[in-house]
Amino acid sequence: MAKIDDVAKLAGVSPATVSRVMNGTSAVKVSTRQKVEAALAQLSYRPSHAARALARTKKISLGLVVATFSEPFFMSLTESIVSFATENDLNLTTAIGGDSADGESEAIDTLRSQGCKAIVMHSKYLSDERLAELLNTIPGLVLLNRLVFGFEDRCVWLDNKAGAKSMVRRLYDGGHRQFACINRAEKIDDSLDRFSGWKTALQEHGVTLIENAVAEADCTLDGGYQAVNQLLASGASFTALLCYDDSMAFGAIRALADAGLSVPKDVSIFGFNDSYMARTSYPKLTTMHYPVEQMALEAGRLALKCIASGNACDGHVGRYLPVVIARQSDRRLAEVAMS
Amino acid sequence: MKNIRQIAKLAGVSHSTVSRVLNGSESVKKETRERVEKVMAEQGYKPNIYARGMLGESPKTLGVVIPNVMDPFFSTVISSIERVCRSQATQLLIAEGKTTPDTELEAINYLLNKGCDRLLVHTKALSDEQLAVVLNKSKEIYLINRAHPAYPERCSGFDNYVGGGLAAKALIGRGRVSVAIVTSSIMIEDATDRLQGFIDELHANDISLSKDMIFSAASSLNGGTVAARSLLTKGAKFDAVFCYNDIMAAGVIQALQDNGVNVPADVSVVGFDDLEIANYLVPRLSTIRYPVAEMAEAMTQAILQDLNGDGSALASLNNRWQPVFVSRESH
Repeated sequence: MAKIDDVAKLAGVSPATVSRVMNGTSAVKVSTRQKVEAALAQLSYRPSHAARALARTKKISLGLVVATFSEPFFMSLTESIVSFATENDLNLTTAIGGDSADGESEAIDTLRSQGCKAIVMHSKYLSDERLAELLNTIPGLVLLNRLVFGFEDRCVWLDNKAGAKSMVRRLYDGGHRQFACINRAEKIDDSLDRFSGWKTALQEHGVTLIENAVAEADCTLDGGYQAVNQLLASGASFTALLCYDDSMAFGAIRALADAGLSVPKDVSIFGFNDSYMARTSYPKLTTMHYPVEQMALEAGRLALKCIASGNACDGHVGRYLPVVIARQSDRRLAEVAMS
Repeated sequence: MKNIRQIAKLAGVSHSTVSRVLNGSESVKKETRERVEKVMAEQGYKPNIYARGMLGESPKTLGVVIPNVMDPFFSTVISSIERVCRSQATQLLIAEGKTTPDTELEAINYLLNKGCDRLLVHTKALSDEQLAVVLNKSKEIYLINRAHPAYPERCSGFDNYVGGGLAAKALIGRGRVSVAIVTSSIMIEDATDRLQGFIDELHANDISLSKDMIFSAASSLNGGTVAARSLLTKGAKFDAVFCYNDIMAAGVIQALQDNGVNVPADVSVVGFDDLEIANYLVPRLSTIRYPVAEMAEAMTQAILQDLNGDGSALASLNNRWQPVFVSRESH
């Protein structure tokens, strides 16, 4: 009688893929499934019942690393992965990476020790080099919101630079020429890329971002508040304020109000993320939408694909673009509107 | 934070020796154990909960049911619980209750089936009768932000009635007499208590409130906006709005300002909760401070201590936290 290895050989796949097809796991490509089913039929393969029972109880384990559960951003991300795991009948294990590279490393160790072959990781603090090492050793690892060169096909990432450029374009087209920005002080990819996008776009439009028009602080309401006070104290003059995220933008509105400046009459403000907070402020924030749910689903699918096919995720493009959500915190300057 | 390998290096022992010390294995020499423990103390090392699971000691798990994780009030609750769990090497599982009795029961059962050692439940939709069945069946369930008459020792709640009274006092103190109320359409204990405390205080000051000045809506930003619009649409005369919570108050302020009603010059607005955003809204929101972060922290601490065999904190749990009025700019 034919053995599972014979079926695998005939179909040109691994024995594990044959089992997955027989178990009805959804992690198998349609074309692969068809090849395997043809081979099963050709060889009249009948699995032993004992082996099948054993195989059925063994679900694929998906691991997820997030920084925390208490921020809405990570809750949306986690929720998407939870529903993805439920729909695909996966065992889901989550680990909290916290706010350090060590914490993130330990979270990965944990998930591996718990048998997770497919892992979706949101990493802020591990270096590109360390992530490259991990990607090399864990074939089912997919990064959410990092782009590591050489592993583009295993990254699902937001093009922060392009998003930052869209912010500048909208404000520039609205007649703004005097820009300031408040950025997250912590040097992570998000803050570096957003800043670089602002700077490049301003240069392309022939606008110079002067040194005292840039302030850095914590990425919190209070951070935004402090950063704007810093700008005002340095004597910076601006009609458009680019903010790292919605919470900093929210704090910025408050600081401007305290200085007697109103938004958007005196200053137009642009946030980033499109969080719940962006709708809570008065005026409501114009912001960039971060499609975190969509990206999380894609990362989950990609991780399953990676373990199903070894490393054959070649050509996968995981780039996402943030889009403008226009609300009330920015305006076109009068002279432009009239012309 | 240092990891286990760095601790091993500093103590001059192998990584597995550190594991044995963490596991309380007796095969480690006393002098070695003391050296490792000293290094761990110096470096502030706390073993990762999952890593501890790996070393053979299975980590304890706390399950939390919360109505909606996207709401800032509940993320404050989760944030406190998460901090305590991390400091005490306890795993945390969260399930959303989604504000209907069926989905709340489903979330509770889901976490029980997942093998959680204890459950901390924030319910909105389950009645006292339904909860009595659950609490009676599973001894490991505790309620946060709820006072169950039959199980006071397993609840930590807040004096919403007194809070409502404080809000009324603040508005009366500003000379406001034409008051409107924006409340949650889910009339559970906290909403009815706040309302009753508020109305009783008005009556004590001979201020009447007609029923059609009470507007119910979803407890959300949009709910606040919708309620304030209905208030304006009716053309009723009002000079103050008491809101069920800060998020609804933010929506009320948006709708009022959009319609040229100045807060607080024309209308005073008072919220409830004292979320972080309250201090950053324009105008800054006057509100009732609800110490939910402290409540969640104290309750989680007590439950985890009990899980480790020390029930004293749980026995003396504060089950009626007191409100404070925070005076800012909106009233």
